[in-house]
Parts: sequence; C-alpha cells; structure tokens
Amino acid sequence: MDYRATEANGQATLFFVGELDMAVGDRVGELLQQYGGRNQSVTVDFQGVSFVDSSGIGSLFFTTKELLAMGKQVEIVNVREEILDILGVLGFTEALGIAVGKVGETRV
Amino acid sequence: MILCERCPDNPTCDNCLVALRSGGAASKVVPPRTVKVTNLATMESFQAKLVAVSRTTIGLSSSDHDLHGRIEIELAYDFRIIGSGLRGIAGDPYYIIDIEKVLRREDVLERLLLEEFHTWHMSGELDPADVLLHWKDRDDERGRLIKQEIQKLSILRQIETIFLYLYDEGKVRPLGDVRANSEVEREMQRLVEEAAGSGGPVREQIVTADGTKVFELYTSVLPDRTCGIALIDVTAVIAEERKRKRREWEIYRDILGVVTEGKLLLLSDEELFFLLREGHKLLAIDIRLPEQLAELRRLFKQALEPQGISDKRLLQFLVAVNEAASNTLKHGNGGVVTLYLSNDKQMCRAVIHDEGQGILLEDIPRATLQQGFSTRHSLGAGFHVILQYCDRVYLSSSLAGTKLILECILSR
Repeated sequence: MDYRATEANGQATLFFVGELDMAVGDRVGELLQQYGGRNQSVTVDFQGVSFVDSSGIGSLFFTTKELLAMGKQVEIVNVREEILDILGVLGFTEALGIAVGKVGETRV
Repeated sequence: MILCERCPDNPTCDNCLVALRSGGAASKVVPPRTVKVTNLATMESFQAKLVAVSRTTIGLSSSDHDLHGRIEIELAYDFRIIGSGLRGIAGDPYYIIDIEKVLRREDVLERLLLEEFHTWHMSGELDPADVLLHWKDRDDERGRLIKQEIQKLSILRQIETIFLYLYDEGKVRPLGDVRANSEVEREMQRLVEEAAGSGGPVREQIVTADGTKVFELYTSVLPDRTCGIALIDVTAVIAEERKRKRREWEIYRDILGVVTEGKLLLLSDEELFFLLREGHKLLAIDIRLPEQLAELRRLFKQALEPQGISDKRLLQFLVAVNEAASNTLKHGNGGVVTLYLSNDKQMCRAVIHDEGQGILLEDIPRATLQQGFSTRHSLGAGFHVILQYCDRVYLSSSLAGTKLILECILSR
C-alpha cells in the first residue's frame, strides 16, 4: 500500500493506493490519526484502493470514530463500486454514518 | 432395668424393646453394636451402643452423652440413620430414636428395612477400630473400602464391572475370584509399580492391544499402607459418551444449517475427506505472516482467472479466503490454505487449515454468526463476509485444529 497526502487551510486529503489488508491496517489508522490530528477536516481518497478486508479497515474505522468524537470532519471519496460493496457487507459505512462517495461523485 | 451388657444373660428382659413401642416387630441387637453418633445441632460426634431396632425406631444406650434432639447414627459409611432422640426409660441412659430417614447408598428411606439391618449386622462388618486391628485378615473389608473410595468419583458410579486387586510387598493379587485378563493385569502391574512411589491416589487408563476395551485404573493407599487397586471397564461408558457427543454435534449442525439457510455446515473429518476427493488440488500456501496474504491473493487469482470466473465473483471469493486466512493469524500462528478445483471444473473450494486447538462446539455459533466491532485490528465481521461471499461454507473443528472450506461456484 502506498499513499500520498495534501494539506491546506485545515483540510487534509489522503490518497491511498493498493490493497488494504491485515499487513497495512495499523499503518492506515496511524496516517489518518496523524493528518486528522492537525487538521479540522480529512478526506480519504479510495480511488487507488483495489482491495479491502476487515483487518485492513479495522483501524481506519476506529480512528474515524475517534476523530468524529473530537468534532472533526471525515469523508471517504472515490470508492470503486466493488470496494463499496465490500465496505457495505462489512457494515463499515452503516456503522460510521459518514459520507462515502463512489468514483465520480463527491459525496453520497 | 439391667441393660445391654447383661442382656445376653437375661433373655427374658425386654424392657428395651417395650420402650420402642413397636410391638413384636422390634428385636434386640446381640451383642450391642458400637455406632458413631453425631448431634446434628452441635455436630459433636461420639460413640453409643445400638441396643434394639424396629422399622420406625431404634434404641441407643449412652451413659456419657445426652441423645435428645436430632442425631445421625452411622452404622457404616453408606448406612446411616437420621432421627430424633427421646429418653426411653426413666433413670436409665437409654434413648429411643424415632427414625426420620435411613440413608442407604443412593436410597433414602423412611423406614429401617429390618432384613437388611440383620444382614448387615450378621455379615461381620465390624467397627472401624476392629477393622484396623484385623486388617491383614480382611480382604473383603479392603474391597469394600476401595469401592467406597471409588464411589467418590461420581463419573464412575454407573460402572458395573470392577476388578479389585491389592498391591502388597511388591506384588499385585486379586481380591476375590473375578479378575481381568492377563494382558491387562500385566499392564496394571507395570503402572502400579510406577505409581507405588508417589504415595497418593493414581488414576491411569489401560487400552487393550486390539483397542476393543478401555479400563480405568484407580489406586488408593489403604490404612495399613498397602495399595488398593480398582480396575474398571469403562468401554461401554466411553461408547455412550461418544454417542452423546455425536448427538450434540448433530444438533448444532442442524441448527447452524437452518439459521444460515444451508450455507454453513458442520463437517466430520470423514465427510471432509470424501468432499475433497471430488476435486483436484491446484495449489497450497503456508501462511505465517500478514505480509504473505497479498501473495496468497495473487496466486489464487492466477489459478482461478483461467477457469472463467467473473472479476466481481473472483474478488468476492478472494475477500472471503483472505478473511479466513487472516483469522488463522489473529487467533494462532497461521495455517495452510489449499485450493481445489472440482472434477467438472464448475466449482472451487479453498481449505483453510489452522493447527490451533479447535473451536469448542458451543462457541461455534458465536464465532460464526455474531457480528461485532470488538477489536481495533478487525471489524469483527470476517465470518459474516465469508458467509456472504461464498456459496457454501463447511466447518470441521477438532483438537487437531480447524478446517474451513469455502465453496464458490465459478459460473455464477
């Protein structure tokens, strides 16, 4: 898994690329924590994500919950159709209640 | 009244019987028997003389202790009477005990069975002190004490075939005529010699060479420092326990099948063997680190793409296999993932085998059906995903580990 990040005016965007599985799950959570900690708003761009599983997004899930509890804004955008399907089966989107956008959409 | 000690010399005296108020059914205990009495209010124990008995009352003599109130009279370890004491004859230390309960082995009676009492009385069962005095001469008493010890092991109470032996001065000899076959006796001698040094009770198991009989061996050090041995044939009990477990397993299998609409099935090792014989192995991968999961997915993709599976279906199956493989890392040291293709090439099966201690039958519903967000490292939804993305899931778990078989129809 690779990533790229931009930050400006309290707004960070994280671009993840590759497969989010058990091997990188903690790293994904740490990155979100790091950028969310110093910005008011974080956008996670999933366009480059080709695989997710419960271990890969477990840490992302809990870190997102913590940021939301702190009053921060978090959204996930550009999620591929097949990845969105997996997130739905995992209960990720329903449990978090945040905006998750498909590829080509800004938000859902 | 001249009581008890002189009673044999004065057979016409029946004062002790009259005081029982039981008519002609009462009889003297000749000679009187020393019995242990416990005052149930104070739990103080002492000895008294049992002088007379009837079905509903007994007569006790005690010059040292007052026998008023509720008391327990111990005739033997497994033969006790509970009753209430009243003064029987004014001026004499003679008490009448109204029987409340007679505890005889596992029975509780409200009456004393006189025939049984007389059998017991005439059988030569002696006071504990006498037993110890004449210990060496009393193999039947040894046998009784060994059985008494065994009765403390509740699991063995249903056993019928018990062989009793005694280990004394380096030799094992049977108590009585009934004995096990020579092969079992040889093994018993070996185990008892090994156990003799330990000093405490020992429990071992002996299986005959042909595997058809199983014995529990139980040794107990007796008061005279010899070692009592009970050899118990538990073959039938084990067979019954296996049947019970099999029935329990079938109930779980049926319930899981119904709840998941036939998607999750428990499988025995034998059924698993025949299931996998229906196809041929495409690949096998040993997973020990999370970093190997990506390679697992790559190899599965490489093997299944030529089989005509759609991209969406392939991804879903990869997610399911990946979840199962991740579980072997989360809950143990990893495992082996094997991919089989059915002979008609219409279906593939992934077998994820971990070498953990298996899942307890009662834990399987929670482990497979309950969805939760319990840990930071996982959404706790792994098995839910597996059930969603596979056409059928088989689970086989034993002490040798857990095997999960994920089935995917390629043409769907």
